[in-house]
Amino acid sequence: MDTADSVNIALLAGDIMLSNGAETYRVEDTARRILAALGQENAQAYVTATGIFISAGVEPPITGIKRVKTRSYHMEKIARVNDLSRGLSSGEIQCADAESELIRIANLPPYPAALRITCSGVSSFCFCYMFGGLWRDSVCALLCGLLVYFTLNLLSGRCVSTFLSNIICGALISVLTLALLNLRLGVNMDKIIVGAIMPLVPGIAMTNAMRDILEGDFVSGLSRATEALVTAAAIAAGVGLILGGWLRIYGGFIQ
Amino acid sequence: MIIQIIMAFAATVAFSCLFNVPYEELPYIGAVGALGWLCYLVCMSSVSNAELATFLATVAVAWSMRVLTLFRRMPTTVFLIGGIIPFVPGAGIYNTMYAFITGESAAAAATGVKTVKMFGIICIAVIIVLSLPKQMFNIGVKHGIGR
Repeated sequence: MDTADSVNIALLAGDIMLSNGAETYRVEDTARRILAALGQENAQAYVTATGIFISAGVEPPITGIKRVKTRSYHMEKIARVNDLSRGLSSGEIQCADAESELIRIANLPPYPAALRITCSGVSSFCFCYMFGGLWRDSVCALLCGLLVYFTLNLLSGRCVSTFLSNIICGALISVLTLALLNLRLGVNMDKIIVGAIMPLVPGIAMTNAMRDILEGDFVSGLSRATEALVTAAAIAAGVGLILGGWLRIYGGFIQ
Repeated sequence: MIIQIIMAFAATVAFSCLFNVPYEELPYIGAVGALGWLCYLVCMSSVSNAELATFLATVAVAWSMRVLTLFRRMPTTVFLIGGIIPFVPGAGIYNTMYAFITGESAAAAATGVKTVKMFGIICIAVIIVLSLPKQMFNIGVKHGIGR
């Protein structure tokens, strides 16, 4: 396999990992391991939160750059690429099969949308109960959770930025919560809203940020920490917009 | 208490589904979440200090996660996402926002700082456990690989 092919395979592997939510150091690690397995001993990989740079070979070295724009979370793809890179190093997987295997991984389907919407509802239900909500509050949170992920799913393919979709979801949560409160179904507004926003909170961005900072990738770490902060602010803004407006107009949450 | 633990199990599993974790890891993720929440509840009932309880529970989560990483040969993130989510201060974000819209700026600043502090506690707990050498977690695994 020549140098250009090796670089392309490593770029493809890195692209799959980075655009599905892997930490920066893991992407670098995997790219280097794949290149070494393909016979490129002195290859360099430099990865930031938004792009991959890989250089391999001597006289002349070949460099490939991949800009990664989409950002979703698909842990199974990361795990499979990780397995593939280890399989390549240990010789269990043939180098010639690497590319077709990577393309197969890239096309792994996500969980069905209906299942994810249900899961969002269930997790909101459970979180609301765990944080001290009553059973009726938890049912309200369940409805909000379903609505949130249904909306996210609707918005995801339509060029709406993550920032805006978080604001919209936050706003929808508070509208529905206020409606349920006034229908006398829910009791504790705070518990319902906290349960309902849990599927949105930036837990993974935060963990990835600290993993990156811990590994010395300060640039990626800071940019991911900012992502976490912006997401949290967007959710709060969406919820606050509706609650604040309601409070100004009616003077209280329950009429 | 039992219901709380079951809820923690279900919440962690459901939450991890949103991130498309491999199907076969779901029971392990749920176990990590349930263990973390159990630890939190026990600490809260004995010392009733949210910061300390969160710290210890996150350490428990991170510890079990590292053992599982070696045992199941999966990237740590798979177990980490679900495991720490009950401790991510969603309530802190909400309370800060609530203080803001009700015009209590001082309270907003105080809860905001508290929220950042909780984020920090989780990060520090996870980082401490991640920095420990791999051999400490290698129980019953012949040759564990990677983190």
